[in-house]
Amino acid sequence: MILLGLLLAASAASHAALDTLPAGAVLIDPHAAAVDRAAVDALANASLSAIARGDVDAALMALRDPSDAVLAELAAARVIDALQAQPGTRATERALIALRDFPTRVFRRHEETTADWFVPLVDVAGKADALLRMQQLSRDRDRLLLALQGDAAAAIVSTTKDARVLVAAIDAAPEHVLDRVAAAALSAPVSMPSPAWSALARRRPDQPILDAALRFAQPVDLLPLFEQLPARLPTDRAVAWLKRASESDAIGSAALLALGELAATSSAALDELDKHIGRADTGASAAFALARLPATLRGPHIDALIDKATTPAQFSDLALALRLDHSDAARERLARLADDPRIGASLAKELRR
Amino acid sequence: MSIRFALAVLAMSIAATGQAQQLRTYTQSQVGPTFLTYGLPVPEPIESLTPVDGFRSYASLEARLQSLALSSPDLSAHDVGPTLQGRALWAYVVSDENGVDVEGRPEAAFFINANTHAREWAAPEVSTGTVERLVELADDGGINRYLLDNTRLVIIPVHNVDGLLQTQRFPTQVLVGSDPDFPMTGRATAACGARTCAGWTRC
Repeated sequence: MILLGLLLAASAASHAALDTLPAGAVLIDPHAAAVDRAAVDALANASLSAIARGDVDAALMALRDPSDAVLAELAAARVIDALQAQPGTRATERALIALRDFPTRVFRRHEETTADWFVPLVDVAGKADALLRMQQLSRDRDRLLLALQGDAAAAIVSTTKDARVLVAAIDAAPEHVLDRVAAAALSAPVSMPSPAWSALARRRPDQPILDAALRFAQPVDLLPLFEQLPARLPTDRAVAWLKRASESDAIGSAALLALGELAATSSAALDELDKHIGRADTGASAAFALARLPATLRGPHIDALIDKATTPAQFSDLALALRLDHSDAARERLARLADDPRIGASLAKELRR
Repeated sequence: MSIRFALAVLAMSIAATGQAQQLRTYTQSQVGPTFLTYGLPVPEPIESLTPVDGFRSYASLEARLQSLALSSPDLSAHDVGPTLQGRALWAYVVSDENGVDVEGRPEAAFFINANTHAREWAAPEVSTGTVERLVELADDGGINRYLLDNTRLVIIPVHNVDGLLQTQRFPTQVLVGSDPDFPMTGRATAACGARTCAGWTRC
């Protein structure tokens, strides 16, 4: 029975490629291999039953016993997937630690080349390692949630080496714990890891938190907030926050594009975009935001801005808005602008190209 | 009779496609039969004209490069498309305008064609970064000005526009398995995806 789906599903993990097969390795073609699904299920279930009884050695022995390496590795993968859905116990942890050393014997050719480039069919060790890490993160998160109910500031400081734990705790924290985290973060903002500011702003988008996030979080952690937060905030607050963010070199462009999402319904947001047209640092971003306005709004609005424009930089930004519009109406406007005697020769040449 | 035949063909087609291709989701750590465990936060496109610690959206890259073309005498944009789905395919020429080197000879040309493979998001960033660097340092009086005056660099930062847009539309998802758009090979597409048009966006 050809079970391509089963093989592909089992191989759903990242692999390191080898150019030489290890001794004793089995090379298979996932598109032609015959696999007995019932045998895989039976072996995986036997192993899971042993783990449930706490007999990890028996579970591992069952998985290592078959002479059919494909069967063994597919069953091991099935066991790991099943353990992920179960509450962690000492036995499951021991089983996963053992599976982290499970030998890789079955390989397939890499699908993007006919050269000798081999990848494991199933990365049993990698799957086990990933699950162990997830379970460790859950345990650390739960411990931190308890600690945050005591000395929250000290608990935050203790996470500086691995902010993921604090982020996970903030994501899961009940409101009364979140209150303590917010108070501690605002009283000692430099102690708060950057990704945690982003997590806290998502859960608690109050003005002091948002302002502190802009000051203390790294750009990489702030950027996702521009997509996630504005729609959840009152428009005037969102516009004010994005306006402050737009003055940053690192995140100003992203903030202006987020402002553009509000400009269809907020005249304050639209006015703010207009102010950036012609600016060397942010004019292009404002032009891009204008190009994304609803069609009924952007054409007349850009026309009005062209009528008022006086500087080469303003004309250049407005030409950019029209070029990025991609509509027939914009192309007509762009052709008219190319003949406008107020624009410079260099811009006219580029527009006529 | 003909309706029943058509329904049967349709049912067979759906069954065949369902067996051949399966949807997978990239995850950072979660494992399972429908996941591709990545080991890192799964990248998502970021809307920003200026470079960020991540991958910019195609629209942002296009806006950035068009903006530079409109403001710099050393950069010009040329639509060499369209793509299969009718979008503009932009090539950018990074050079001064005269077409000759400082001694009057035709300039040597270099060509960079990036992002044929839609999921390889680093290539558009690197090629766009090359343009950004050359244009922003055009007045350095050194190597950048020398290159602009004496060579002609032609860059297509995104060759597979339709495919890149598709992967950025579904950044955490991918189709694995045989691709019905390639029945003649019927294989070799595991871990590829981004299928939008036959022959263009497999990986």
